[in-house]
Order: sequence, then structure tokens, then C-alpha cells
Amino acid sequence: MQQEQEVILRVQNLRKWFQTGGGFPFSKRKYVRAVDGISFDVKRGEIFGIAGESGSGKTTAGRVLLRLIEPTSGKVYFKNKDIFSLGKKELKSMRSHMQFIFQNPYESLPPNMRVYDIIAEPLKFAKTTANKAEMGGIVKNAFDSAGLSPMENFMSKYPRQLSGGERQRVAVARAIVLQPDFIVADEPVSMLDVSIRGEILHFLLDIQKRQNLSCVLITHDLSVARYVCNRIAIMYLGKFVEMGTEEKMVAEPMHPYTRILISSVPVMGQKGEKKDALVEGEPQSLLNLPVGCRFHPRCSRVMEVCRREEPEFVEVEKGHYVACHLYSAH
Amino acid sequence: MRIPIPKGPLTLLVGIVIVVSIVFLVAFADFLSPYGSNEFTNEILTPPNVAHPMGTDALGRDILSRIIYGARVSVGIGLAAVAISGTIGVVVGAISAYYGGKLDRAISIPMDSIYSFPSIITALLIAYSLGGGGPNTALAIAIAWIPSYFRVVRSIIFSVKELTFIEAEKAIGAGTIYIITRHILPACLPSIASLLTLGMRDAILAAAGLGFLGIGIPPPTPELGADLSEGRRALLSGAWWPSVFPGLMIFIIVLGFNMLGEGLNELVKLRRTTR
Amino acid sequence: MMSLLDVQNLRTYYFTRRGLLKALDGVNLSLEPEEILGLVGESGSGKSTLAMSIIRLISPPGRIIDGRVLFCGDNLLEKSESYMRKEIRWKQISMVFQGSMNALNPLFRVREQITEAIVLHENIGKAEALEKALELLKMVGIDPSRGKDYPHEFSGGMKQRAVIAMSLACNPRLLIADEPTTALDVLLQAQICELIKSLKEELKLSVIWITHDLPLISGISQKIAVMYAGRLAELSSAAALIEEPLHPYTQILINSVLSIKGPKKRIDTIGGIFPDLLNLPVGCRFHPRCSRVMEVCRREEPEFVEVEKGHYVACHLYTNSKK
Repeated sequence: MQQEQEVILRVQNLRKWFQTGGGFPFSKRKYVRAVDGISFDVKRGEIFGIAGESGSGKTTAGRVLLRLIEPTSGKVYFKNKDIFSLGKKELKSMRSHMQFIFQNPYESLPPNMRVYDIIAEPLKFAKTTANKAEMGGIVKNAFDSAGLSPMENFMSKYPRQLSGGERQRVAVARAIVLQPDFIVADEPVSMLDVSIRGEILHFLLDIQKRQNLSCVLITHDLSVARYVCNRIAIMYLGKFVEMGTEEKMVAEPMHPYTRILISSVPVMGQKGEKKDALVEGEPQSLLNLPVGCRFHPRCSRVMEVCRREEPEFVEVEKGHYVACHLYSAH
Repeated sequence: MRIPIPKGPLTLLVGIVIVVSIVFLVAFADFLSPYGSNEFTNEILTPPNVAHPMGTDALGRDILSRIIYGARVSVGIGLAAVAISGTIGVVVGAISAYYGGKLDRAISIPMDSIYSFPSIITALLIAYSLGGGGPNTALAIAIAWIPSYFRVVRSIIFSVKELTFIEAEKAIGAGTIYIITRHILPACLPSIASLLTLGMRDAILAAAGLGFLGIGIPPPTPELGADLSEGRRALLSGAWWPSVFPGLMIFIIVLGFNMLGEGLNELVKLRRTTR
Repeated sequence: MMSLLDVQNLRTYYFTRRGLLKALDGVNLSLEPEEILGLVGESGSGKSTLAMSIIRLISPPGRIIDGRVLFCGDNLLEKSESYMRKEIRWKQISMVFQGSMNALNPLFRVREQITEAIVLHENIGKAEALEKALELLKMVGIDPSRGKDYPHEFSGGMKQRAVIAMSLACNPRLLIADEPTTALDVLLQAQICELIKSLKEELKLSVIWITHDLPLISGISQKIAVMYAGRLAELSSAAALIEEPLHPYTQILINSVLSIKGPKKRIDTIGGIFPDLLNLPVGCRFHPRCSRVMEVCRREEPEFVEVEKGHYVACHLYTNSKK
């Protein structure tokens, strides 16, 4: 499985800025640079993780990837088609190949529809040649893949009769019913009890194996990213600071921010001071980004150049990218 | 162990009882009414007695019968008015709220202008210029009340459309019309039901008001407001029944729809909090 | 030596229209001075209800119907409401709620809010209280000169720390923190953990730390209590719980934790149905989901007993062997 897989998603310099202020004719327009130029590829059958804290822009990035929000600039190629230049009809048909799993299972399902109808709903919008019987089979497949078996126990219930974990399984089933090539999962387990997170994560891994599904997983929890992702990118204040395989990112992180993040994650039974885990201050506001490297005000290894110039996101080892002056060629 | 009885169900219950009784009364008016609505007798201005439980008016007509048929007229006008303004207000409000932006602003400005003017006066002006008669009265009230429905529906939809599951619908490829009709409007349905019921209250009261002022249904058609107005003249002769009973009937009908509407409101709130 | 807090057989029921909800059904635990107790549980476990019951903030339709809450030997359940308000809450026992950084009043400066808390509970003048407020800010790592700012000028982490400062205004002996770091990012989380650890030493404070995050609590608490559906499943020192979890539920919890380091192994998940607090199963409340269920588990509820020194568990696997 290590041979060159085809690239299913190519993101180039994606930006999404939100305008604030400027309501009155003479006040200056300010922009919240939620996503400020990210580029990456996702290969077929790969789970790519975007990890970051709140305010990093990862949630916005996820929505722009599926064009649930319009971008400010940049390109996203899905199966070599530029999704931002598609017309309404083409976009709609593209939707059957790319799906979204939302974070909040208590709000992302229509409250007045039964589970069966919720999971079967995407079939209404996809151009399908399947007849009624075949469609029934497709829906049943989705139920089984998401662990909602036996189907009879769930199909007539309303979301309010299900637990959080069950609701999220319905969301997963609905996302995969059309057997999409690509899914964006936005914090799919962060609102679930710890003891049932494994269910959803294992489903994702399962579907990845069986259907060669590609996925972008957005999370703030690095342990989740480590468990399911093949490659991980760390996002900070709208940009990627590091990107590489899951093994390397966890074992040998290069960027100071990645290092701190990883050492701050609590490890079972590990007591004692983690002096290098403590970092000063908090992320700047997205309205008022620092000059030079965005992380420099909090970096313990800051240098003069960091205060002036933004480092470029470059490949420092095969497949491993970092944006940090410590590593860029001087 | 004290079990608190919430006020909601009581209001709803009373409202249902009253409204159902009125509907029954109106539907079977021909059977329930002891006399015709325009049946003249020789007993002019007689006080309530066995033959005429509510007395007779200045033209010898049985007042009980008049108010039964009058209720039918009021409810009829109310239904027509609510049907027209409700439909228009909901549809326009839904579209304006869903698309937002410039379209919303373009529609909201004329709506808000009409809304800022007291609805009853607007209805009065329109009814006057259209002339009298049942249909014109209903139309006048309908037009004057469109902005009220528009505003409420618009604000309900604004809040519903931001919910995550609507975004999820877009993600699976649903079109705008599907989302509005299949998801947004049904989510608003409970609130709209109470809105329409309270609308009946307003419409009936407005019709009675217009009738009272002499605009609207011309005599001899029984109309509660008009009868109330006519009945005032009899007060000089000491006859209280030609004015009190029509007024009481207006009161009961309006009360009934009000309680039903408020009761529905409570129900909606209750359902929302027990999720 | 008397424990700081001794909860005995605490039962809190909610009398709802849908039925009797047994939120707490016989909880026993104790807390020593200068000790951090981690209270671990998932949705429906009753951990928040336990916290509210200790300081008697349970409102109808809920009611504490049984048990004793001994604080320094005094049963809090027998005290009057005004005693609780004047002497206990915020003075001796303080609480930090989940998401409480949003509890700061946006209209008043931060230092004013802390000052107000002090003045309401202590018999000192406003000027002295203000001084104390600024000291508290310093103690939680906020520059006292920022005291004059309004809450919206504080970052999320600073707000959380300000709320902690407020809770310490009257030098309580016990702090109940309900998921104080759940809404925070991992870096902030680490900061707050360090803060509470150092406060515990400086102020001789005891803490009940409610969380669902086992790795987090294992690093800072001395004792851990695991709750399931209204009762304690297990209670022991943190080290013993991690190394030798006895209750099957604890074992699943530990095995379902994702770790950032160490070998990657497939995590456990718990099967079965979520416990319905209105309709608890007969016998052990965990038995429908237990992989080691026995006949007795379906009939009898296991008692919460000490099977090793300081290690309590409610499970027939262990109580039977003792008999």
C-alpha cells in the first residue's frame, strides 16, 4: 500500500478572510484571517489530520474544503476539478462524492425525521440509477457499516431518542451512504464520552480500509490525530507550521509549537513538572497578527529574524514540511 | 411530594374548550339558533325571557339568534383574513429570511413601514376605500396584518436557519426550496400555529371594531360589532341587553382564541426545554 | 484524624414528571486536607450532582433524601440555608463551574468583582478587600495592574484564572472544580493544572476535581473516584487505580484512553446501552455492559467495600472472594 497513490484532493494557497468592522462608511476594514494560505495534498485512501487549538482556523478550513463557505482566494482541486469554479448543478453532483461529518451530534441531525429517512436522504439528491430495492440495500449497508445493527432497532427512532454516540453513528452512516470518495470530519468525537470514542474512530478506520476512503480529520486532540491519521498538519493562527507522517510528528516534532503541544498532552500516570510544556501567553488575536513569524511572541527559541520575516513552509526532509527559521536554509 | 402544575396545559385546555364550542356553534348555527337572524317579531326591546333568552332588539329580532349568526360572520371574516395574510406573510417572510442580504432589506423596509402604523387604522383606511361588505373587510384586515406575520416568521426562520442541521442539509446536496419546505418551515410549524391562532383573535377583534364603526358588513347581516354599536342606542331606553350580549360574545370568542394561541405558545416552549 | 470531608451514603433523587431519577444513589467518599481527589465519570454518572449536593445547591424537583455530608465533622445536611450561605459557600467550600469564565459580569471591572465577593463574605472594608483582590490576581498569575480591565479584555485563559481567583477570595479549605479545563486548549489546560497544584500547596487547599479526562487527573490527583450511573464504582489512590484497576468499568475507561506516546494499540470501547437513570437495571447497574458479568450481578447490587488498604470497589468479582 506504499506505492504512489493518486492525489484525490489538492489544496493550493487557500485563504478565507472574514471582514469585521467597516460597517460605517469611514471606519477601516479589518479582516479576521481565519485561514491564511494553506497548501497540501490528500492521497486516495489516506486520512489526513489537521490539528490545532481553537482560533487556529481549522474549523473554517474544513468548511471551505467542501465549499460550505466560499473562499477568499486559493484553489481546491477535487479529482482534478477546481471546485470553486463549478456551477450550481455541477457542484451539487460533486457533493455526492464529498461529505461532511459535523462535530455536534445533538444539532447536526434534523430533529423531526426518523433515522431511516435521515440516512436515506442523500439518495434524493444524488443522480442514481438504482431502483427502489437497490436503494434499500444501499441504506442497509450504511446502517451496518456504522454499527447501527440490527437496523430495526434504530430505523424508526427520532434523534432525540438516541444517545450522543448513537447519533454520531447516524451522522457517519448518512455521510457514507453514497459511498463518497472523500469525507471531512470536523471533531467527530470531541463531544462524545471517552469510552465510546473508539466506536466512531474504528468505523472511520474500517471504512478507510474497505472502501479506500480518503478523509481530512479536524481535531484539537493530538491523541485522536495520532490514532487514526496517516499524516498530520499542525495549524496555528491560520497557517500550517508543520506537516508530516504521524510517526515523525509525534516522535520527532521539529517546530517549537508542535513540540510544546505534544509535550502538553497529559499522559496517563505521568506526574511531575513538565517545565518545557509551559508556554507564555496565549495566541494573538486573528485581527492583530504579529509581524514576522506568528508564533514568535511565545517561542522559547525566538531569533532576530523571527521578529521580521515570516518563515516559509518548506520541505526539510522527505515528506516533512516546517515553517520555522530554525530549519530554513540560511 | 409536591408536583407543580404548570400553567400551560390549563390555558390550552380552556382555549380548546372555548374554540371548539364556538366552532360547533357556528357550524350548526342553523340548528342551534331558535329564530332566524332577521326574523322580525312584534316584541320590540323585550328583556330576556323564556321565549327570548337574551331579549330582542329594537327591530324585534331575537338577540340570541343574532349573536349566533354574528359569531359565524366574525369567524368567517377571521378565517379569510388569516388565510390571506398568513399565507403571504409566511411565504414572503421565509424567502426574505432565508436569502437575507439585500433582498431581505428590500422587503423589510416597506413591511416595517406598514407595521409601524397601527394595524387597525390601516385596516380602517383600506376598508373604507374598498367600500363595505364581508370580502372587502376581510381583505382590508388581511393586508393590514401581513407585516405582523412577516416579522414573526422572519425572526423564527433567522434563528432556525443557523442551526447546524441546516448546514448539514446543504452538505448533502439539498437545494434551497427543499431545505425551506422540508426542514425550515416544519421546524417553525409549532410557532406558526400559535401565530395563526393569535392572528384569528386579532382579525376577529378588528372585524368587530370595523363593524362597530359602521364600516364593513352592512345591515341587516348580523355582525357582532355592528350590533353592539346599534345596541348602544337602546341604552337610553334602559335596555342593556342589545349591547351587552353581542359584546360578551365578542369577548368570549377573542378570549378563546387568545388562550388557545397562548396555550400553544407554552406548549412550544415546553417541548423545546425538555429535549 | 478527622477527614476534611466525609460523604456517607449520599442519595439525591429528582422527582420528575417522567419518573424518579436516581442521580446519586449511595455515594461514600472522604477527602483529607491538602488532597486532590479526582472524580471521574461520563455523561449521566452524577458527578456534577454530587458536587452540587455537597454544597446543597440542589433545587426542586431534586432533593437530597439520605446520607450525611460531614465537613470537619459537621453534617452540612443538617445546617440551615442561611448558615450554608454565610459560613460555608465561598468561605469554606468554593466552587468553580464548567464554562464559568463566562460567569464574569461584563459590566464590571475584574478587580471589582473579586472585591465584591470578598466584601460579601468577610467583615473587612472595601479598601482592604481590594488589596486582597489584587493579591489573589497575582497568585493566579495575572498581573495585578490588569485588575482594572473588563472581562472582555481578558483572554479565555485569563478569565478562567480570574474565576479561580474569585473562588479563593475567602481562603476556602475545599475547592470543587467541575471540569475547569474542559473548554480550554491543551496548553492552557497544562497551565491551569500547574496553577491548581501550586495553589494547593500554598493555600493548603483540598480539591475535588471533576473531569472525564483520566490522563489529566492521573497526573495531579492523589485519589481518584470513578462514578457510574449514580454510584461509585471504584475509589483508590491514583497510582493504584492506574496500575491495578479492579472494576471492569474502570478497566474499560483506562483502555479506551488514546495516548500520544507509547505503542499504538487498539483501544477499547464500551458496548451496550447507556444507563437510563429513570430505569436502572436490577442488580449491579453496570452488569448489562460488563464482559465479566456473573449470575449474582443480575440479582444483587454489589456493596462498596474496601478490598485493599484505601482501595474500594463495588463489584461482585471482589466482594464474593472476600466472603
